[in-house]
Order: sequence, then C-alpha cells, then structure tokens
Amino acid sequence: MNEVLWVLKRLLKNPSSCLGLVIVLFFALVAIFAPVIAPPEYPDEPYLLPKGGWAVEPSPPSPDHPFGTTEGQYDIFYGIVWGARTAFKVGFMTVIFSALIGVVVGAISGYFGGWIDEIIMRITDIFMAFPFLVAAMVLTTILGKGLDKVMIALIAFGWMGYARLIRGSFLSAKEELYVLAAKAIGVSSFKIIFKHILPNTIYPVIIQASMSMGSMVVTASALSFLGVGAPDGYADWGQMISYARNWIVGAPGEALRYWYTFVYPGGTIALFVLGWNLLGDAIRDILDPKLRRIRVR
Amino acid sequence: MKKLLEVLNLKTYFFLEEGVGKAVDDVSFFINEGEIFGLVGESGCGKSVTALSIMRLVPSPGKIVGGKIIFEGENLLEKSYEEMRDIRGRKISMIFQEPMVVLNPVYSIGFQIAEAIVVHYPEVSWDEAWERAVYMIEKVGIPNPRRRAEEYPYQMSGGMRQRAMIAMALINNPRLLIADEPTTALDVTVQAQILELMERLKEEYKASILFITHDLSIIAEISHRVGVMYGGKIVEVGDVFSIFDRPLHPYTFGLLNSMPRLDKEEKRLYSIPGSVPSLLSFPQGCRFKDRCDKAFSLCDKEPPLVEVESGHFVQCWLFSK
Repeated sequence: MNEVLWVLKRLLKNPSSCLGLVIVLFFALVAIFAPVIAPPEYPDEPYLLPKGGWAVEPSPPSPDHPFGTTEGQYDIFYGIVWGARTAFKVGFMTVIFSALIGVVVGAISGYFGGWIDEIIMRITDIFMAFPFLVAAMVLTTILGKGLDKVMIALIAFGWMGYARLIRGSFLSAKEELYVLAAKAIGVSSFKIIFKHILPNTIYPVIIQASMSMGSMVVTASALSFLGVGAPDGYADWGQMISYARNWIVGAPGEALRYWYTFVYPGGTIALFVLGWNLLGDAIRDILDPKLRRIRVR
Repeated sequence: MKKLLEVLNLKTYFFLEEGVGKAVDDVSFFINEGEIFGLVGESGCGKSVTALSIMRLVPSPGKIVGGKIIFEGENLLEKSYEEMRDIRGRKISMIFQEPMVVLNPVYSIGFQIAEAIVVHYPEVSWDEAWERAVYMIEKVGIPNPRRRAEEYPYQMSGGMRQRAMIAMALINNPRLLIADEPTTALDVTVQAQILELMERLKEEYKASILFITHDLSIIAEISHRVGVMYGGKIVEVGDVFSIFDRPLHPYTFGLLNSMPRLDKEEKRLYSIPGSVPSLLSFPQGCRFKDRCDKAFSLCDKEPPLVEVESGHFVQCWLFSK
C-alpha cells in the first residue's frame, strides 16, 4: 500500500505525468459514467450508435447532437462517449493478454535456455517477420468482423515484444546468486521462474505495457477505419473516423465544412494516446531501479 | 566415527569452446559426522565447483563426468532431479560468499526463511513457518527478530544478511552444511562472530560442515580436518594439527609461509611464485611443479596420493618411494 501511495505521489510531482494521469482518469470517468453522460437509446445494445435521421450528409453540432452527426446521422458525441469504453476494453484486454503470453513464453525461454530457447525464439521471430498492422488486418479478415476478433488478432501479433524483453532480463537474472540460493534450498523450477525471478524482472514489462496501451488502441482504430474492425454502427473511435472519410475534403469552396466529423474523434484518439504515453513515460521514470535504490523508507 | 559424506574420484569438467577445463579432477575426501572439514586453496582451484558438485548444481557448461558422492550411504549422482531437490535445503544446505546479493531483493527475509520450510514441508501452515523463521532469526543473533523478519535484504548489513542466510540454511536441520567462503565478504569483527555462530549452531544441530575458504587462519580456528586443493586436485589431507605442524606438500608449505604470523619476525611476507595456471593449460604430471622449488624429474608424471602418517595423505613425489 505504501508503494502505491509513493508511486502516486511521484506521479503528481511531475507536470507532464500529472497531465497524463489527468487525461487517462478523465477518459476512465467518461467510460464509467457513459450511461449517465449519454443515455443509450437501445438499453440492450448500448454500443449501437443512435441515428438522428436517414440523410447521408453529416449535420453540424446542435443542441440535440452536441458534436454534430456524422455520415448516416450517427451521433458523434454518443460515439465518443461509448467509444471510450470500447477503447479501454480493447486496450486493457490486448495489453494484458499479450503481456501475459509474452511473459510466460519469454520466461520459459530465458530460464531454460538451450534448445527450448532456440525453438521458442525462432517461433517468435516468425511472428515478428510480419508487419504488425498487415498481419493483424489479415487475421481479422480471416476471423470475421467484430471487436473480439480485432482483439484476438492484436494479441496474436502483440506478445513478441514482451517475450523478448522478459527473456533478456531472465538471461541475466538467472545467473544471480539468489537464484542459486533458491535452488540450494530446493525450490522447484516453476517457483523459481514465477516467484523468484519474475518479480525482479517485471518492471520493464509494466512500462512497456503502459506505453503500448495507446498504440494498441490506435491500431484497433486503424483496423476499424479500414473496415475490418468494429461492425457497422458500433461505438468505436476508429469507426467514427471511418464515417468521416468521405467528408474530410469538405465541400467545394468550403474545405472545413464538415470539420466536426473528423476533429472530434481524431482529437479524442490523439488525446487518449497522449495520455497513456505521458503516463507510460512517467511510470518508466518512477520504476527505474536506479532511482528506486536512492529511496530510503 | 561414521562418515557422513564421502566423495570418491569426483571429476567435474567444464566443456568450453577452447577445450575441456578440468575444474575438479579426481578428488576424493570424506567428512565425518559432526565434523568441520576445511577445504583451502587459492582462487580458481576448484573449491566452489566441488561444493556445487555435491549439491548437483554445477552451472552449465560444467558437468560431473565421473566419481561418486556417497551421502548417508547413497550415491547422490544417481539421484533423480526430484530426489535431489528434496535433499537440497533439507539434508544438505549451502551458504554463499556474497551475502549482499544472495537474498532475493523483493521478499522479506522472514518470507524467504519461511519458504525454505514450506518448500519441504507443505503441510506446515504459513503462520507456523513464519513463527519458526522468527525463532531462527533470533537464534542466529539478529536482535528484534519479529520486526527484522519483515525487513527486506536492502535494509540489512552484510553481516546481518549472512546471519539470515545461515538461518535459512539451518532451518530444516540439515545433516551437512556447505559454507562456501561465508566470511570472505565480511569485515574481521563480523567474521569472528559468524564463525562463532556457525560453531555453536553446528553443536546444537549436530550437523557437519564443509567449510571452504582461502583463509588459513579461519581453518586453523574452526576445522577438525583439512583438505588442501590445488589445480582441481586435493594435494594434501589430514587433521588440522598435522597439516599445520607438519605440512608435507610444498604448496601447503608455501601457503602456511605466506600467512602473517606474530610469533616469527620477518621483514617480508613469503609468497608462492607465479599464479594458478588456467584450467585449460595445466602442466603434465604434477600441476604445481612449475611453481614448486623442489620440483625434480619425477614431477612430470602424475604423483599418487600416499598416506604418510595415519590419516595424513599427500600427493607429491617427495613422499612416495
């Protein structure tokens, strides 16, 4: 508990990390209170965007639609509020599961070494040989439309970084004397890996995870924008930008006529990613073992 | 007296790209029950590898290629991985040279000591294990044990950590304690305290100790029998009095002479010329011959281990007919 308080205190000391924390907290609040901020029109399916009419052309902000409506009269405000939930869901799920897979794979690889390491690392290399976005796109297309499919694809091609990271730490940590000491009291390999070495090597993974929250959400949005992600009418930021695609150029003589269709969702994504990156940076500084040493309780 | 551990013709080689390093080559010795056996030698002569071989924890690319390690009548080299894991920490435990890095930085010392119990006795509840850990911390002379148990290694001094390590090693009442230079990293006053503690606990727990060090004064103080190691071989074994009063092997002689003494006045401390040859390039025959002032023609052949007086063995051509 002391530890958490201490981390929080340091987070609040630095203006940029403070800003990151505020942004992320703001989005978290929006996501939590989505039903209050934007009451769903169809309570059974809150993620379905309400339509304000049947016209194709977006309409500018009005009291009914504070951020205006996008192509097909989908309400932008509603999409952004409920899209925050989608973003957190996608971000957390993909980061947690890819980190989990990466950590287990990397830990086993680094600890045992030899041919086990060789095989696992070559498999990792194969996964890394595909460009991330293209691979995720192809896999999503194969699996079909839907946010769960997007997450599976992102996890399937997102774990390798963690695996390499933790393997590297394990390669050096397994030579530490405390590992030998643990072996000398008869601790099993499984426990040595997950109980003794992992807590000493997990910090880079936490940092990496917090930094990649933003990029995972961006990639999921990109997939939605490309039309292989969220289903039509689903509250998702990438989807919102996808609707703006035809209207970005505006009308003849009035380039910014439909600015609201892309500024709101685009700005939201940028802000969300910025928040996580600032937070990730701050966490990296805080968890830096060299800085931690100095601290006296 | 009953033999607790007997090492017979142990060979532990390191298979490197440059060749085979014979870190432990044909080493034999035994340890009686309730005895402290001192193993001395310079750095790099195979003392630690001998210890790790007994634990079957030789790091890769090292391998035990031959010999027997008889412990309580059973050959440890024939044990399976699981059987060996059961023996480690319960029947044989080990303490190490660097107390500063030997404890896991993320767990309190109480946790680590209690874990040593639970690993071997899963039926013991955590609270009970914790209580025993606190008791043991008190036993090794750490004041305020209940509070100290909750502290992390970084909050303790080297001496305290070594005490914690001893507590961890002795908590399951092992038959044999392997102490690999346990006092080398500590300052002299703490050294004396740790030695005294080990002797006391040895009596109390009826354990034997394999004490590895390069410090002859420590050996003289605590051990009953001594083995002198050089270049992966034991060149002289005997009880502590015969080794110190009547050293036979020129290497033992050199070691004793290079020890500062109060009862003799000398201008300059003696030192054995040269340094330990690399594992990969031991000379043919006696491995000490290049540094030995008594070397002669026979030394190009490997000397046999001969018993010069009862229980006092030496491996040198000077003493074999």
